[in-house]
Amino acid sequence: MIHVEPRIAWQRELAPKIAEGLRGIGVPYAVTQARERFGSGLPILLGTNCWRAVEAHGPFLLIDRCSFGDPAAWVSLVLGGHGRRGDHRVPDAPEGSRWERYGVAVHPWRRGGERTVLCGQTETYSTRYATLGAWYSVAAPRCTDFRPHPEAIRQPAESCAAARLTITRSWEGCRLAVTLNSSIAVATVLAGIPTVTMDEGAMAWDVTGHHPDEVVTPDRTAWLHWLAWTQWTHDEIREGVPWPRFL
Amino acid sequence: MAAVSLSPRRAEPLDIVTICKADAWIDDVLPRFASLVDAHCSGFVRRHILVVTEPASAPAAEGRTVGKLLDRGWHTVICRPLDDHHAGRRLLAFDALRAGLLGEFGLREALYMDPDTDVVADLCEVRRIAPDADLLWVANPLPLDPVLGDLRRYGFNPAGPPDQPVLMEPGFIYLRRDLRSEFDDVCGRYPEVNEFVPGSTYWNMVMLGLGPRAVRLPDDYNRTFWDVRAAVTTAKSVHFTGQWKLLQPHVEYDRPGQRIVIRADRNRAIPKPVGEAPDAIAVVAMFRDNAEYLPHAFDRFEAWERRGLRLRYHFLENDSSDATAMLLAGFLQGRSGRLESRSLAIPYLRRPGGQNYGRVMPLARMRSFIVDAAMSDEPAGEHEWTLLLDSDILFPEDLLDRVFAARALDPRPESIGMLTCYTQQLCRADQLPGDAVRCPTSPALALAGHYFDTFAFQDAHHRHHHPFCAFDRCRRCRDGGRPDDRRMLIPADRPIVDVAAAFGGLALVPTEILRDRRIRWTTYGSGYDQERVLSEHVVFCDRLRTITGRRVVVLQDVDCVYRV
Repeated sequence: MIHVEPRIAWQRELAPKIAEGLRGIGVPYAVTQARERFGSGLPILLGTNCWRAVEAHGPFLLIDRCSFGDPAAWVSLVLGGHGRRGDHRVPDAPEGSRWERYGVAVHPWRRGGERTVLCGQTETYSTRYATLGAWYSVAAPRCTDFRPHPEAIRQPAESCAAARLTITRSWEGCRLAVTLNSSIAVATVLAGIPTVTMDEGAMAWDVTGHHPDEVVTPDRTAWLHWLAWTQWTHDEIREGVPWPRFL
Repeated sequence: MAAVSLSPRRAEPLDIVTICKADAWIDDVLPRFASLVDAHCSGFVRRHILVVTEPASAPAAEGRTVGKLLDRGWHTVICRPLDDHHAGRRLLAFDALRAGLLGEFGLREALYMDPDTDVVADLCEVRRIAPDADLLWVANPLPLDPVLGDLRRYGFNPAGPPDQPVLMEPGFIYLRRDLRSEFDDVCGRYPEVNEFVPGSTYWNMVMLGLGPRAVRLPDDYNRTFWDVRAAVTTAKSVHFTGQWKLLQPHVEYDRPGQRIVIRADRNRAIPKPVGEAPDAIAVVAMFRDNAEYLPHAFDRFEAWERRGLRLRYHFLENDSSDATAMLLAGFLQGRSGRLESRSLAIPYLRRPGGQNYGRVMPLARMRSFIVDAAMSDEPAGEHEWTLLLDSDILFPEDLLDRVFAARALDPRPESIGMLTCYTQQLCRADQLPGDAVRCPTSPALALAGHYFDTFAFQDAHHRHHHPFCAFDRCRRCRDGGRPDDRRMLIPADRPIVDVAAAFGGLALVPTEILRDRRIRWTTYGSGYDQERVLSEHVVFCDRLRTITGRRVVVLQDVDCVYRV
């Protein structure tokens, strides 16, 4: 069962491609706007916003925003959880061909810089922090700047204002990016910015520090090879390539 | 059956489910279905669809179908190939799917409707009817004899009084639990049922087997389109069956005005009629064992060719045991047109002494078939008319001159869509009144002014005068027991008579009108007496008039056409 909210453009565009891919490998499917789980098949959920009732009552396959590359061309596929908490069905020892095929730029680690940028999120998606405010109150005192989430509609939490963080959208002079579990951490790691992730669900968990002032710059090669198996192109989905790994 | 009772109003959605093949209906029929549901059903309505695909269909095409349906707001779309548990009975598989829809869509209850249904009023109240019933059903307006026969044969007592049994219409049902096991059970237990509508038979068995847990809905919940009056005035939904499906895209409902508006085909403007005589004629004719008659017709056609008229011929011959087929093939050599020669799977009988209703539908199908064939070819001229000709019709060489001269006398000749003649019946002289006129070429035959084709004729007030004719000038009907009500009769001094329907064995129609494939022949029973069906020409003329807005006329002064 493919759960889709047709009013969200990317979901409306992707659902027919998923249907085509499943049909191509002979897997029966249905497409629905239903907020509840029904039928015996594995629910395929597009996005994270609408399907809490489905997630709460059994296994699911989440198709969500990609970690790297063009969001109009890639999506992530993960079983049974959000981000790194789920199972991306990555091969045991992923070799690098899949990563190298897509030629994504990886910049050397930066050294120096003055600013520590706290990266905002829209929700926590974390069992560690019930609210964004709770996380901000821990991280903000160690930061100099605040980068709002591009889709955030609320103002920064009170704790950020109290810490007198400067609102920024620039990475210039950034010595450290502090995140909870947002996909922005993958982007900063690829850009060579040392990064902190404070929740195990973060896709960049393996190559980042986990305390607001912890700067780590490990070899990223193995992680990049792993990362390449966590997301798939729209064409691959339409051709049915990833489905045998998940169904 | 239990009495209809209402439950308190519930705030739950009305789930409407339909089943559709992955074919042209996705674009042609479903958008209308969806928009009418959305426009007329109040509250929270969710539309669900099961798309039946072909196993060999391309995945990309299926993906496009899913995309379209999501764009059009369908809540749940299930695509799957047809489960072929009922080998050789493809339609039965659709009925079986219908019985299991709730589980398929994860619904507790739902209204199933065939996709060729127009929802023209709010259906949400159906949720409140008989809340303890498992199945709510509507009556089928047709007493389907094969279904009734099967039910009685297997010990089911149809609903309703014995002399007026009522069958359910499986195209509109409200389900409160899956009935797939019940459906499969009757299919397995009674494998020998009619091949006409086996799904209807099994659904009626399921309904009757449920006893009081199956409740009949008020008839207004679903009507068939041919019951036009009910469809216009009170129906909440209207189901299009048979050839009415062709008309459905063009129908609009004016409920306050209690009328149906049939729009012109937006993709195809009806051409302006020509004011002058035709420059070409497409002859469309059907023959069977007419070897003796054909030389007469050929003689006329050849005369028209000699005058420079461009002609093309489309002949349908069936089951002749004489030289008819050979004569037709010979005539067509070197001429434009084609001969279709067929053997009917179920030959009909000709009974000269009486009305044979069984031949009406076969004739309708044959007429539509050969006209379809003719219309698939290019016209022979810019102002081509089509001559529809039956066998054994005698007509003079100057017939076309007479017809179009008479037409020119009409103040609005361009408004005429079908020209027919005052075809007279040639009778044995000794069977007619003394003032009958002897036929000059055959003294044993005589004329008494009797209009021949009374079965196909309906006057402007849709009155059917059969077996009498409606014309005051007919001496045979006057002396033969016709009710003496001259107000009902058409006076002899009216040269152009507007009628609801007529044929007379010979008619002329602008070819462009016949290129609209909705304007074809079919027939219907009365609903009370299924065997006495309508003349196929009544339906044809009705379509021609309603779709084109043009008139059907009898040229009373062109009375030089005879039926032997």
